[in-house]
Amino acid sequence: MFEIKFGDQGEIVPVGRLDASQIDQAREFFEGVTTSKTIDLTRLEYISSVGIGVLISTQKRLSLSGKKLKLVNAKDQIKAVFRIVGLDRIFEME
Amino acid sequence: MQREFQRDVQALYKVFEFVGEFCVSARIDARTRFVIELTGEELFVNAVKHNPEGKGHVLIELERRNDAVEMAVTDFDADRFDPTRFEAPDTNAPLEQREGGLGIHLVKQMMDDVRYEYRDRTSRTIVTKKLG
Repeated sequence: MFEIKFGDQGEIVPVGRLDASQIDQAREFFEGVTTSKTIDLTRLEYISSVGIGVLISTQKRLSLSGKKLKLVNAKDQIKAVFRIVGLDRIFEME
Repeated sequence: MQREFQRDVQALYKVFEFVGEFCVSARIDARTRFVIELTGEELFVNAVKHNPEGKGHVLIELERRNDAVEMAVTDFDADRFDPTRFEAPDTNAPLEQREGGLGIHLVKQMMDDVRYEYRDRTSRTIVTKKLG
């Protein structure tokens, strides 16, 4: 189960499990993101390499126009996954 | 425990169900379950993505051996794809140079051992995660 939406403050809120079977929904959502955004990961339970790939490709596209994504409130295990792939070097994380 | 899965990314939820059943019956903690789920997804999706025309299903086996969990993912009609020889992506590279290959890198970093066997078009990856 996965869904992604904008929160009350304009932040991006992914909810549930972002695995390879859910990637089309995530990809379509992020294709519509054209400004700097915070992604609140409080309710993200799981993410695999395909989801990380979408985050990286979105960050790449936004960086061309001086914009960026910021990741906040990731659970410890998801933070550990992000560190393994070096996401902490190309995203601001809190 | 072992189970076969249809060669389709949409069968992934069944892989997670299987891992969940195993983790409950083998009394595996939530942290280790997360790692097994992630590794299972990466290896299963790899088989589906790199071998969509392969015949038959993909087999996943899970077993608890004292202080470790062993998982094997087997494709019975595949070309050789040896993850142990996979060159790690540069995770220090700047954003503009980032490319794919993160899945196998994650598996190799999260598991304590990764082995590969290939014989008569049967491709088998065996991973081990120590418990505790």
